[in-house]
Amino acid sequence: MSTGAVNAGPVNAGHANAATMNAGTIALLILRRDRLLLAAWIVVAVALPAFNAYSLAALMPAEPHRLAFIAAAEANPFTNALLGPVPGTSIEALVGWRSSVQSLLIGGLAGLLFAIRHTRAEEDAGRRELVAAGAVGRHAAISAVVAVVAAVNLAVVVGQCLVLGLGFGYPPGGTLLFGLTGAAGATMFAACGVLAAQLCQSAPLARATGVGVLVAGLVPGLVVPEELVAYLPAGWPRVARAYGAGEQWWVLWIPLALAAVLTLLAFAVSARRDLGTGLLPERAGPVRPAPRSTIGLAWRLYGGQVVSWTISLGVASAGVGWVSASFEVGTLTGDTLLEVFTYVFCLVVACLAVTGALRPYGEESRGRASPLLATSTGRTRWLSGHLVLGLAAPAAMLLAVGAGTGAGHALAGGRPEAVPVQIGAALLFTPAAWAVAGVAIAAYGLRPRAAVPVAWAVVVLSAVCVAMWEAGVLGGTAFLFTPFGYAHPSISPGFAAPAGFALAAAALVTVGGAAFHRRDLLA
Amino acid sequence: MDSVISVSGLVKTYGRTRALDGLDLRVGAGEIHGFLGPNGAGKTTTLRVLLGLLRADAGEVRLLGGHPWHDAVRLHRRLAYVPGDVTLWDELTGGQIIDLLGRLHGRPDTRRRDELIARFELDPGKKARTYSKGNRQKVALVAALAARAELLLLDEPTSGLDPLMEEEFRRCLAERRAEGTAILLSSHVLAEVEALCDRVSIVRRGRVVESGTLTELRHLTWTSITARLERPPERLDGAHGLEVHGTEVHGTEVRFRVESGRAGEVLTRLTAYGLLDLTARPATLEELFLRHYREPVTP
Repeated sequence: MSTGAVNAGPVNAGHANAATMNAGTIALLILRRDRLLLAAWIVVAVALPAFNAYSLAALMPAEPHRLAFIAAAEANPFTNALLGPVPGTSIEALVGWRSSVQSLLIGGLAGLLFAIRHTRAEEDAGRRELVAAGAVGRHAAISAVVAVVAAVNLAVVVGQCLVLGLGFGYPPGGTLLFGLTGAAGATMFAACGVLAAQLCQSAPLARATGVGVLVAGLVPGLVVPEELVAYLPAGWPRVARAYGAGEQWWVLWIPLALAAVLTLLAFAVSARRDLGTGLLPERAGPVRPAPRSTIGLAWRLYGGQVVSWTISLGVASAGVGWVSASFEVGTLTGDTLLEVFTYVFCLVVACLAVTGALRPYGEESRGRASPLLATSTGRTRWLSGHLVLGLAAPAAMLLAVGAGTGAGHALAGGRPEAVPVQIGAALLFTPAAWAVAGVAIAAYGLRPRAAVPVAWAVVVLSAVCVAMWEAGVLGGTAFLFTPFGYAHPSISPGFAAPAGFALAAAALVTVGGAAFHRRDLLA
Repeated sequence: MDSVISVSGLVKTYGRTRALDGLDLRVGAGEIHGFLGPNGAGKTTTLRVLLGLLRADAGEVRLLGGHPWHDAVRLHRRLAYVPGDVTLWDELTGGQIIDLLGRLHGRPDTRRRDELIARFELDPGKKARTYSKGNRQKVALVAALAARAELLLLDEPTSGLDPLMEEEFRRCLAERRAEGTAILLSSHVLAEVEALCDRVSIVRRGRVVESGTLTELRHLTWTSITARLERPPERLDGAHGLEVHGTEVHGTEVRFRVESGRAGEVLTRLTAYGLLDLTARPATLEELFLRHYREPVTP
């Protein structure tokens, strides 16, 4: 075969070397792999404002209720700083205001993680090498993932227009602006993820960087002066004023332009760099002797994560404790702030407890369990190594939360008795954290492939129960039977519920361990 | 001879490590070229430069008349690649992945694909999650061999295949060579290289230390001789400036290696001790490679 003959073929046509060559095929691959995930993403993003529309309408059916609520919200500097002023007195203005930052957070986080999953994580796994050896343009993967994220966000807008516009009868213009503001912001965060994936040498590093940017874009309503907030993602919905007087459609250009710039930057980096490299390299760890026990191995693998989360939670708690000692604005007292934040930190610890409980599954499914179980290490010892760390970590984190909030509050307010009170309050959540972890462990032992969805479904459902309790849809007794119930600031716990959850956790862990002992290992 | 791949003075550094240090490589049209070397010698790095996945720091690289980095997409339509470590998408079946890779390549041959799936006894309906290492390898091999390509780049493609499948793989490569496809085969399986390759390049520390046909490589090596004598021999080496290596004497049996072309002189000396029996064989490929693998590097 002479090379000249092939050169004359259509293969050599001008567009054949296009940088986006085969982006469509990769987009179809992404859709095929993640169709369920994408469907869930769209459903959650549409359900969130719909849920707010339903519950706020139930709470405040008439204008006087709403006026009182808006007055309270505007008098509350905390809410005011996070969400800005309510753009109108109608129910839809209230719903749009309440849902805006939530929508950005959920859509942004999903888009960001999704973008990294289909770029840097593919490269880490070695599949980018397989794809890039085909006739695939250098920008194809990035173009594909940005296109899919934009399409998903548009689908969310369509869904919101249908549900809010047709279902609840909200004005179509405002609904479209509300939806597009969230969609454009979420696409911008996905573009941040795309760029982070190009700059960072590994997917975990890219995720940490991306989430950092997301938090920095949404949270600083608390510290950034009002006139500057408009330049941050948290401020875009405030400027847009969906459903309010004087809607500002031009705001949409800011996130869209930023998304375009970030994507172009990602193109530029990706077209210049070698496979497997990044500007931000992974740090090489120090050389340490090999661990001697299964608990030692678990600690070596995951101890760093546990320690850094514990320290971060402790520091954040101390900050909140410090602020709360002198916080007294409108209806929001320092004690309320302290209670609310302690509860939020407890929920974060519950999520981390689930992550910890799912580690044996990650180890096993990646084929790291079988070489150890082929040695004299028994199944029980292997599993208990991970479980000891997985169950001790949330207790340590809750201790850090309690000690941090208590010490911050005590130092700033001169009330040393706050320390033991806060430690007690935080540690009281331990049985709840163990219970959600226990569900993950039981699922891992019984049906390992279902462990991840089951464990997170329990967390999400428990969180939904919190929202329903706060909205008055769920009764108090029923709420006490959910893991996040008894520790809620509005409930005085007693000891029956924590004891019950401790027993449930013990039973679940026992069931999981016994089932793991009996079942086949994953391939 | 037309060169499908021509590389000269290729350098690739990672920080202070020089992964490729002036590598030269030529693969002619229609030849199977064996690419050999110890782990970490730079074989995979070379293949990744050829694919335009890594950028060369220095040196000249031409692939099918194009530049591997700038003309990557155009060139990839004309070549197919099997990576050394095949990871697939857990959620897709083997058949879906083969079709996907075919679409990405752009010129799949569906008749040949079905034939290859049958020959490699691959079950294309199973999810990739359930595949063993060998089956994952088969998926990548079927996709690459089913593509209408002028050049195949294969990075240790048979690691994980059983001997029957390895045999099938060799037949496939021989067929592709008969059609005029050039093949660069990075491998550790010396029997496979010996059976298939027209020419061989041995790479060591980022540099090709030897390149040529197997006959050329055997030239200037040695012959291994085992002899049974009547009396124990004294002083074989050194006589007549003869280089004799690795002498082992067990009573009246002696084993040693002598450089090619000078066996006669040794025989003359051996007859002095009453030569009873003699076996002589040329250096095996394995010995040839081990010599290069083990040799200390001269700076």
